[in-house]
Amino acid sequence: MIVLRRFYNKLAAGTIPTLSGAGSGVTVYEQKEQTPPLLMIQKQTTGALLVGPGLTKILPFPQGYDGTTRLSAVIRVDNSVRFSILNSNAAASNVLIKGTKTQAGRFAFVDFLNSIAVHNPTSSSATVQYTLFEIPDLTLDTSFYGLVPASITPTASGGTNFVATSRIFAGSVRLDYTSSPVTNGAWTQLFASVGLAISHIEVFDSSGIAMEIGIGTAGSESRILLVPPGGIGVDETIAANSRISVRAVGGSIADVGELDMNLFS
Amino acid sequence: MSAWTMFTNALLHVFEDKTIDAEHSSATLAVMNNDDRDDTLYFETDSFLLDQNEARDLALPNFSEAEWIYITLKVNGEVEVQVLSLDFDNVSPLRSYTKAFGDSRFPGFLQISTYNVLSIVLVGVAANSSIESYASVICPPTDGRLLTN
Repeated sequence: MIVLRRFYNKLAAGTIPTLSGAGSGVTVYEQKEQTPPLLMIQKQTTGALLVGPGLTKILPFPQGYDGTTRLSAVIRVDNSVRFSILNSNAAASNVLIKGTKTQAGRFAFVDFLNSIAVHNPTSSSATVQYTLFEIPDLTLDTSFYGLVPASITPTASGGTNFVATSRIFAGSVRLDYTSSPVTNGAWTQLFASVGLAISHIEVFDSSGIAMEIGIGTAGSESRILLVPPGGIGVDETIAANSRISVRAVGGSIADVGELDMNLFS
Repeated sequence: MSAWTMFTNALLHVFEDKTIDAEHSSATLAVMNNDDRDDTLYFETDSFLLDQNEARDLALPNFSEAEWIYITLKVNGEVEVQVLSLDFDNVSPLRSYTKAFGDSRFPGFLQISTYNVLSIVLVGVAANSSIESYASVICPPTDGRLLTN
């Protein structure tokens, strides 16, 4: 049986031979467990600590582990030590783990963990070897190798650079200077709040004087763009939800013509 | 890295085999797989289901507080092993709550080798948790009972 087990342990997935002759009738009951999907492990650490007599040390967690996911801990010791574990969802846990130089002590578990401390109460040093790895969401196929369906069909010519070829319209405004004159004093609001982050502005202005576009709350506007008579279209970055206003610069008042503005994200 | 293979090999080794397989990259588990000595006095295997909050005492044959206990669980679901024991001074009580979590694709494994144990209780955390357990009393290789048992 042991020989068979050794043989089957070496087999690749799915290659179950037909048993015959002297080996027939033997149930290789662990075969199913030899061909599981492999887990994708994102955070892992392995190491060893030498804990002197009477000392306490903390096992280092994998980089980036924050206790909000389950961590699998596999620990091997060659002496009797006491583990003190803080879980995120349970009381403090304390237990002695016994091992010797010839017969190692083992401690393996899975939990949401805040800390693992190991204390050596004996009069001789203890070696603590550990492997800690994060358990991904086991309900997702993407947490396993080989279970991810092809969701994107590659094309022969590669992808499309959508950033450089198109812009998304994000809003517009028209201001008639005849009915709503704009002075060089207070700013006149154009947008109370633009929803999207803006990357491009187009402005048409027929007032005949230079105007300025500003962002900021009422009374705290600051210029981001000087609009020459006629208008301008430029790449300009404006944060989402900004307030946009206009004010006259080239004269005391713009009271003829109109302003048209298109925003693109 | 194949955590499954590492665990499976370690588990197979624990149960009966001394085979050393190289299908792992973790030093701890590599060494664990190469541990070639488990002098077992008594062992018991079992397979059962636990519902949420359902508790089950783990009783070992010929068990006493002074014995060296080794337990391995394979879990589909989530269970907690509660161990009431004594500290190194043989007086102060210790309590531990150790969990195993997994599913059919990646079962949870729990291993614990301890002593000074007063009681061990398995409690279901998730409903319908399936558990395969191996519980044993082990000893140093010099223990005379290895010859007389």
